[in-house]
Formats: sequence, structure tokens, C-alpha cells
Amino acid sequence: MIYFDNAGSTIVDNDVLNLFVEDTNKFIANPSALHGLGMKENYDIINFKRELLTSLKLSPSTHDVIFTSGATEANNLAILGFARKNKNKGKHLITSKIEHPSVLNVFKELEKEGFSVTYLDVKENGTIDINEFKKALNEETILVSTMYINNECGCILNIEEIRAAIKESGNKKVVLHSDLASSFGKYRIDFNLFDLFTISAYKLHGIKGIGALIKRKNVELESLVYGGGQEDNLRSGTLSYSLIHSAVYAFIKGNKDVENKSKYIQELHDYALSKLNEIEGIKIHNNFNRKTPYIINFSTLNKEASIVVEALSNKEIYVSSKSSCSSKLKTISYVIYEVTKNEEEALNSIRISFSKYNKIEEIDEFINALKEILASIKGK
Amino acid sequence: MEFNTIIVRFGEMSTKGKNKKDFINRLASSINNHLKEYESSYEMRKRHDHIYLDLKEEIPDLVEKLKEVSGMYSFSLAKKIEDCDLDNLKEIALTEIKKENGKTFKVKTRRIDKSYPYVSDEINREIATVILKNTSLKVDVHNPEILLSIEIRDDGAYMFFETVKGMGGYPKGAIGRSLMMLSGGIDSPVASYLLMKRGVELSFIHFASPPYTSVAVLYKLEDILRELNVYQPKINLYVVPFTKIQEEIYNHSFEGYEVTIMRRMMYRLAEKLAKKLHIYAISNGESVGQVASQTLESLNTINAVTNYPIIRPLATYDKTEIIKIAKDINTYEVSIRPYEDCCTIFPIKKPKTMPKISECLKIEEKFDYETLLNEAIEKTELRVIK
Repeated sequence: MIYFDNAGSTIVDNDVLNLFVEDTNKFIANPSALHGLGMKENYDIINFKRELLTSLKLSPSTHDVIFTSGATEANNLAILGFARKNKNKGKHLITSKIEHPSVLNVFKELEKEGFSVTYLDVKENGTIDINEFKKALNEETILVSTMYINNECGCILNIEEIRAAIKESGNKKVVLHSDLASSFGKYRIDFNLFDLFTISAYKLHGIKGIGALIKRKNVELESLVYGGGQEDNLRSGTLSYSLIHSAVYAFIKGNKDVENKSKYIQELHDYALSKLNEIEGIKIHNNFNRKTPYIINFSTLNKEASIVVEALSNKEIYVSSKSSCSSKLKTISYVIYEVTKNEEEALNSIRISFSKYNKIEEIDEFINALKEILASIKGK
Repeated sequence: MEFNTIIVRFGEMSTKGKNKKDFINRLASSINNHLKEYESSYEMRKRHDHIYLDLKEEIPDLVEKLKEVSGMYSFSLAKKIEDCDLDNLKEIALTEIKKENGKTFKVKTRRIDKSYPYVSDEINREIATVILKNTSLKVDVHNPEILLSIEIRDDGAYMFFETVKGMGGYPKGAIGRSLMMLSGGIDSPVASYLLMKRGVELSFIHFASPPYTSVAVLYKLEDILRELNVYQPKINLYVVPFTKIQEEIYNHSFEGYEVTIMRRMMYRLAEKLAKKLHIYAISNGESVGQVASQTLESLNTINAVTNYPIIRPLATYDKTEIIKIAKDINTYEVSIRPYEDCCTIFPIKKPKTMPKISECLKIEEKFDYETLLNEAIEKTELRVIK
């Protein structure tokens, strides 16, 4: 098996899994319980949060960590929770057109609630036009949410410029959220850029079912879940000691030594790119100002990407595409469309994404299989 | 009424002379199979005219379960009364009818045990009189809201208010086996249900064209067949690799003949597989006129490749009727999942509605399809769904 869909989900790190299993057996109490074991768990969780924040060069006195079921819930809590809580301050919100559905669809929901939303274009070079952004920003604006590394094309958005433009505008009520599910651990990030940001464990060799929203203490949110009042009343529900511990471990390990780890991925990326460049009939989407080596996205020009992906899958080579082998599911990649403005390319895009577990030989095997498939299947 | 016996009626199969015993046995084993989890909750009595289920304890959703057994015309939820003394029957009838809802009633007795001292009319009158005297109910012999049925038999009296229409048809497997062509669309599961209801045991053939079709199609088919497991507990699905044949068809076909040739190849494959499995009929979900390959001219040209009987239960059904049944048997939701089979993998400009056999033969001469078909049969995979 060759797994090149690491932007979709990653292999769970053995240490993470062992920690989870050990803790699950050992820490059986409810961290809200008022007996010794419960109180110990609660105390530990507070410390895990401190460790996480410290490792991100954030201060536990200025920041909070709210554990959620994953990035989708964290994005919902950040955007819905902030907009609803602060609607008296203004009703304008800004985001980009290449956000994950767990961001875009939340904004669509908020439009129904009476907010106005600006969806910013992303240029072919993978950046937001900063003048367009400045124009969008106004007195009514309370929230800006843009991702850092895009999960489909791998471009790195100019979020530093966005931050600077917000500052420059003088509008002090604007809060910046970023969905870092695909960025965390893949790039050296200054987390102080954000007021709110989302991370997810399973994108970084953690276990599925847990993510976190990290926020500045002074940013007020409205809860989406009511119950026992856990997580500072922002996310009720019994905390899972073992899931939290394992996730914090994965986050800290994943965010360590990011640049060195990227070097190995860059080697894989450059090798794959050189090989892909030799193949006729594909177009690589690579004209970005900044780009992560973890992702390569290309479009097939004469063959349907969905059939290529199915054929690769039948050889146990797993890559990602937006449309599947079904005439009813011909969905285009709105991200690739945004950066290419070409519907055919957006319909036929294929993403390969790497992790530290991938080997250079796998790229050779993948390239050979891809060549063979492109030669053998019938064209469009 | 609290019932303790189910009376199962055979309907159409009771006319089948010497095969009757075999039919009753099949129906009995079909019922037992269907109620396997509850085998200790009832006892079965097989008789030449009915099957009785004497309940020892309640079986949850029993009525719904019995409706899923083919070969059952109707069944009644009855109270069996051992003491047939008329006064006793009067008393029980009165107690039970008081629990029913309605303003009018009728008593309808059948005296099967002719040694019983009163004739049916006398029993009707006696019981009705007691009810009239002791309740506010009125008699309505034409449209009673409550129909009290009483059957006097040698082993006791059976009293019931409720008779439920069964699935009808014949017991499972009573009519033999057929090979069903299964695509994954809405029609073929419905056609399968109608055949199963008719007592035909089905094996299934599916033509897979990876990578042009997704593996998700096979998951979808298994889900459909799992719904049909209600009527046939063990189902064999034969998956025939069809990609090479498809590609050859599209390499050699004249424009508009692709689907016709494809269907001809499918029929040939179905016949080959059926022969191998000692199955003597082929069936599918075709409905006259629904698409280009289902015009009568098309069917003639396609059907010409085989002498096998092709059973098309949906031949005259409207799409709306088919969809209604699909919803009733829970296959609709699965069928409308987006993954489809090979009928749509290559874009066809204008499929011929009146394809000619002579043209088909010209196309088929251009490649050695016989070898490809045999190869495909060789590589066919069996999946068992139960």
C-alpha cells in the first residue's frame, strides 16, 4: 500500500497510540468528579493545556485551549460562537473563497442570521489581494477568518499581510481566526498572529475525534453546546483524559523541529515534482508565491481524474480527488477553480500529500503506476 | 383481542394439485426460517388447508414479519378456544367484542366440523343476540365496522377479528431458480423482489468495469441484496469483470450501437454463467420503452443472442410504480446513491432506438468476443450475501 493522502488523514504515531491506551486503562475517572482521581485528571488536563500553549510560544495567562471533537467543531465554535456573541459590535465578516467547508458553510449559516459576509478571491499566485481585503474591511467588520496553508492546493496565504492590514485599519474590534488544521506542524507559524485558531490531532499523527480551538482570553464566544459547563462553559461534555493527553502529545511533537522535518518532505516533493514534470497530459498547480512541500496538486488533461484515482486505488495507491467515478458526483474542486479559473482542471484535479512515513521509492512506484494508467484508460 | 394462534392461508398455491404438499412444506420451512430467532415461542401445525402457529409467548413485530414471507395469501390473528360449548363461545365473543372499536358488527361463522350440533346460521344468530342484548352495538351485515369470524373445527373454535393480507405469490424456491442481472439502479431490485415473491430463487450477475466504475458500486449492491435477504436469506452475487469487453466494444462499434452491443454481450455472459450454474432462466429489470435499449426493436435485437427465457417482471410497469415498490422494500434509498454501473461509463452520443441485428453482427465480427467472454466467466468472483 502507498498512502499519499496525508492531507486527508495521517497514520497514528505509535507513541501517541500507546499513550492513549495506557491512559485509558489508568485514568478511568470523570475529570469533573470531586474525588481524588477525578481531581488529579482535571489538574493534569490544565497542565497539558499549559504545556501545549508554552510549546506554541503562547502564554497560559493570555490564551485558553478549548478541546473539541475536531477542527469542524472548533471552526464552528470560533466563527458562530464569536459572531453570535459579538453581533452588537458589528455584523460584517470576511473570509476567503478557498476555506474548508467547515468554515465556508458556517459563514453561509451566519448570512441567514443577518450577517453580511465578504468572500475574498484568491489569486493564481495563491494570495489574497491585500487591496481587495482593505476595501472589504469596514467599521462593521468584527471577524476575519482565513486559513494559512490550503489543504487542497498547498498554497500559503499571505496572512501576515492580513494581520498588518487589520492593525493598520485601526478597527480594534476585528478578531482574526485561522483554520490551521492543515497548517499546524507543517510550517513555522507565529501563533501570535491570531486571536483564534483551530488545530486537529489526526492531521498530525494523532487520533481522530479531537481537536482544539485556541483563543486569546479576551475574545468572547457563545457556546454551541450546553450541559455540564466544562471548558469554561464553552464546550460542555465530559473530557477524555486519554484523548486529550494523546492529542497534546501529538501537537507538541508535531510542532517540534518543523523546519528540519520539512526538509525531508521537500526532498520527496521535489523528486515527485521532477518526475511528474516528465509526464505528458497533466498540469501541475505550482505557481504559488509560497507553497507547502506536503502537498502537490495536478490536473489530468485528457483523462478523467476520477478514473485515474479509482485505478490507482485498485493498485492500493491512495491519492485524493474531489469527484468520484460517478456521473452524479462530478463535483469540481472549488479551490482549484479559484486558483486556475479553469473548470476542466478543477474537475480533474488530483492531490498527493506526504508525511514523514513516506519513502522516495514509493514515489517511483506511484509515478510508474500513474504513467501506465494514463496510457491504458480511455480518454474523455 | 389477545390472540394465541395464527391461521395462515395459502391462496393461489392451494390450487396446485399434487405439488401442494411440497409447497406447504416449503412455506412452512420459509416461515420457520423467518422466525428462527423465536423458534421456542411457537409451535407449528401443518394441515392440508392451513398452517397454524400456536403461540406460547409474544413474538415482537410478528405481523410485519409474516408479511415478508412469500406464498402466504393472508393470515388471521385468532384466539383458539378448546371448549366449543355454545354458551362458552357466547361469553368469550361478548367479552372480546367489547374490547373492539366500532358501532356496528356482524358475526360470520364457518362450521368446518360438521359434527358440531348447530349449523352456522344458528351460531351466528345466538352469538349476535347476546351481543345485541348486552352492548349498544348494532348489526350491519353489509359493512360492519367489526367483523367477528368464528371457525368451528374438530380441535376447537377459532375466533378472530383481524385478517391481514400476506405477500402472496409462492413459497421461496417453489418455482426454481433464475439468474438476475443486477445493475444497482432502482429497477433490478424491484424486479428481484417480484420474482422472489413469486417463489423464484435468485442468483445475481453483475458486470463490473473497474476503474471506470467504482468499488463503491459493489458495496452498494451488497447493501441492496442485504435488503432482499428478508425474502431470500442467502444470496449469491457473481461479479463478472467487464472492462476489456467494454473497451473493445467502444473501439469497434458504429456510432449509436455501443449500448446494444454491450447488452448483447451481457446476455451472452448471463447465459454462459447460468449454464455453468444449472440455472434455466435469466431475468432483469427491463421495462418496455424506458430507455433506448428497451424499445421493442432494441429488445428484439438484444434478445436474439440467447434462447434462454428472459423474465422481465417490470416489463409493463411505470417508473412511478417501480419507485413505489422500491420504497416499500427499502431498496430505493440505496439505489439512488450516486455510484452507477457500466451503462454510463462512456459518453454515448445518440443510442439507436431501432438497432439492426445485421449491423450488430458486422460489429461483432471485428473482434474475438467469444474468447473475451470466456475469460470474463473464468475470472468471475462470487460474493455471498446473507
